[in-house]
Amino acid sequence: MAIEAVLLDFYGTLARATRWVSVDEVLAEHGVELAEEIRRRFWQGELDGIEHLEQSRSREHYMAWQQERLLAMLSETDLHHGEYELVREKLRAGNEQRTIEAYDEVPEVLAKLRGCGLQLAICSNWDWDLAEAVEEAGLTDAFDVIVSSAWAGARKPHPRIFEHTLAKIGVLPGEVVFVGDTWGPDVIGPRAYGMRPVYLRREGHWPDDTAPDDLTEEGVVIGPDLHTVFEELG
Amino acid sequence: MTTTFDTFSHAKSVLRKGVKPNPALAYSPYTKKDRLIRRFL
Repeated sequence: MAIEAVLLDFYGTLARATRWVSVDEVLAEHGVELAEEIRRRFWQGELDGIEHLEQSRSREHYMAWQQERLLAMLSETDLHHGEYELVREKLRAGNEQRTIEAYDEVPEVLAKLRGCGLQLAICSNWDWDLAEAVEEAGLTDAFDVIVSSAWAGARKPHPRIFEHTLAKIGVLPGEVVFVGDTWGPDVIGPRAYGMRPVYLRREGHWPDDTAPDDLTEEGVVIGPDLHTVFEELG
Repeated sequence: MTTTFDTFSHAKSVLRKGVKPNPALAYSPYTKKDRLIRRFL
């Protein structure tokens, strides 16, 4: 089956924050370290793959859910509850300084893919404001479709977000290459859905604890930046 | 205490290495005005 479209993850694949304030930094100012188990449960791995239709009814519902999760996470740390509001204010103020930039090779590669007649879509585990983040990275015009988990009601690798994205561009899973930097959401999920995954390991990238120890046995195209997609396209 | 970006930048020295920065889980930096403008671009 000929490839008709390329779906791409956003954060860590197309763009990254070059300026931001992490919850770790803010908590460290209060002498609190975020335990790995709490981080995983509220902030990372265990969040991925879930369905959250109720929370995706509107931006207001989604943002309220984000705040609930943040407070639930803080309640499991050693932070005194009298400091919660200050921590939230620091996170909010810090986020206003966030800067998102595309990786250097991304605009050129996207233009080449478009030149090959392929449809391009972003499929990202992100918040309600993905369109604004893509715009900030200067990539809006490169894409036919942008889908955030916040709008789709499920986070990768849940099939709902893949189904939602493919329906918007009108292609079958077997006609799609999926590119991403996190093994579980971007390789396992897309492969199970019938797409062909490409896995990026950028230099200086944070560790991916969803990836197996030996990637060579997986039969997946792996490379250091977005040019790798051409290896899968042939 | 006055909170500035420099305060946070300084705190990066105590950030644990190897943790995925995930800036889309707590707050969005975009104001309503940003969102309205960008919707019409």
